Amino acid sequence: MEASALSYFLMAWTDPYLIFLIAVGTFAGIYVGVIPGLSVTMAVSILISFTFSWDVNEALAMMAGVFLGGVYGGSRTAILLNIPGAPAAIAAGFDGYPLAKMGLAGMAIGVSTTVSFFGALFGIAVLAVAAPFISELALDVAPRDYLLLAALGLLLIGALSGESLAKGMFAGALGILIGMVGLDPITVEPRMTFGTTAMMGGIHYVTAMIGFFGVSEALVQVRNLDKRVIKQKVDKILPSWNVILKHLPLSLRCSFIGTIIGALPGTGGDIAALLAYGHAARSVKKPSKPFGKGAIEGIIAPESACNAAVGGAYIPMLTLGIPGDAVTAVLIGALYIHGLKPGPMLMIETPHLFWFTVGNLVLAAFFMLIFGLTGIRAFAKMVEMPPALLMPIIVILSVVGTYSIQNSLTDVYWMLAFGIFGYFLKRYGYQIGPIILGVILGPIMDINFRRAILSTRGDIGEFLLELVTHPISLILVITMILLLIAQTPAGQRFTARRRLKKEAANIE
Amino acid sequence: MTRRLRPGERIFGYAMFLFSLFLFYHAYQISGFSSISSAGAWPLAAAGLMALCSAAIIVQNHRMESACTGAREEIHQFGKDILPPHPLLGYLAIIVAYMLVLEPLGFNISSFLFLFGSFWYLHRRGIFLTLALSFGTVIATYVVFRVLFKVILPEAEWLDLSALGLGG
Repeated sequence: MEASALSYFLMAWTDPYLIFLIAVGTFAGIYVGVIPGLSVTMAVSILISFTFSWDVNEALAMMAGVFLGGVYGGSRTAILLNIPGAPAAIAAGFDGYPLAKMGLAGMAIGVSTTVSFFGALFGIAVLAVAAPFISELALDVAPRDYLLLAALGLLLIGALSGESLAKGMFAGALGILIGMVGLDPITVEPRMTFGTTAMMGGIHYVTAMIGFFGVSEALVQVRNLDKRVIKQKVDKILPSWNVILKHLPLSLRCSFIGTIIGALPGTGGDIAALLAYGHAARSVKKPSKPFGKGAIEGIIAPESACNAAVGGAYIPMLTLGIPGDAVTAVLIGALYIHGLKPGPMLMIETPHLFWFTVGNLVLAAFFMLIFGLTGIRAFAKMVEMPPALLMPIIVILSVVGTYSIQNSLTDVYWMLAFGIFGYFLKRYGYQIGPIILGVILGPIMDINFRRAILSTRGDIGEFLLELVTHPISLILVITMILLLIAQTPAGQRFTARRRLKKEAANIE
Repeated sequence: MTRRLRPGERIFGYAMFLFSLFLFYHAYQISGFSSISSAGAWPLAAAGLMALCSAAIIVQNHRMESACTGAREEIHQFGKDILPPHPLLGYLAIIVAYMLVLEPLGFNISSFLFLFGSFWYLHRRGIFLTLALSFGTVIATYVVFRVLFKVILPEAEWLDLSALGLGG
């Protein structure tokens, strides 16, 4: 780093007012992120409107805090109540909630906070070092690669199916169909609208998320009113170094996944977290508990990834002027209002902005760690609240969250319908995870598959050929084939044999 | 498999199969079997997969023993285990009523009524405590969301709070 870069980097660190703004932003971000339906995108959009009259540096400082804090905050309610505060936190609930049910919510949030911090720093480090290189890579990613990435995410269904794979696949396909409702993005034909105009706008995936996770959970919980509330052990908030060090390689691998996914235009923390969870479920041979039943690895992976995705999302924004996700799209708009032109010239015309942003993000990561660890005790108490009081409040928050997406009561009714349907699905052993996976990944697969086919003028042969002749696609195809083979009975026998051999060698 | 069928699980399996066929029919209506890159291709494939999986689930269900003997016991167990009148069905009725009055009464009044109703129904404490709890929660929600975060909440059109300087 040159001397000037260092001075830009430290700009916020030496200005008490900027430090204060980053702290306020991070704090606000965490608490907005906690509430289901109040997304980081919304928090940034609302808060950014206050900053239009501010100095651009002050605005950028606060936004960095809100962004990072908001992405991190969503996992709190996912772990404590199985109701993710944001789509990026869905995966954190898969194992976090079982841990909370065991009375280990404090530990789960402590670990999540620590690895979120590491993940965020990793993403920022990549942003600082490799921004131009990564953004070029992101530009080379074609529709077929997005299709393959989303398909990789869908493979997670195998791990999330619960008692029966057929039920998992049913739920995944249902999710894909929910994601298809509305006007087709390419031909503008109405799809699955049953002839009504009310459904033409589609079903927002946060509506589905709140309904399936929030309301259905409130209904499941209400049956256990008399059950004694599990007291949460929050004596040990700082996770032991052994746990962190042991899982550092996993955390780094998932941070890497998160940074790359975050840098890809149109994909953000939600997909990064799901892919990282899938990676952990496949690569960790001996988890502390089975995945989905309270494996600490199942928190480490998605939390590292979704926070690393923040640094990743800034990469194409600062180097190319292309948003990495919805939040950076809002940020780009704000930069224009402040008279800056995000794009390749930004780094040449206003080089200080790049290092200033990197410095802000690092500072925000530290605030996230501080606020995250200090607030655990109060938060863990939330689970100890009697369900008779907590469940109605969850319904109210679900209404606020759903209504706030596009100010529509129809969405609220949908949310209720999903909640009731989700209750029955849960009771009969269908998992909710695959549905949300389908809702998020289905539309990505649909549109990118068709774009890819259109780009070959409908020639399937050429489409298949492109899958193996382009390096990025080829890597993804090989990964997918290997994963599929590993899931077949023959593949499982092979890996089991290899593990036995390895263990035998270790003993010798 | 040692698990036993839950009450009503077999019927739910059939219902899901019919639901899938219904969705498949609607997916077919979009663009038929015209081409693999048509607007209807993915919905059709997804609905088809749903139908196949739900058929497989029906087969799985038939291989399992039911926890209940006879229809009468199954209905009894269903009412006890899956859809108990109290507290689940009662609470569900309160939630549905809440959603229905959201539009005519607006967020604040309907939420207060909903909280009062459900706290009273589920928590069963004194009326003043229940009143205080629901009032406090509504106020807190309003301050946090409407005032601090500027979130738009459903408002009753006839009740213009902005005239009193409270809304808007």
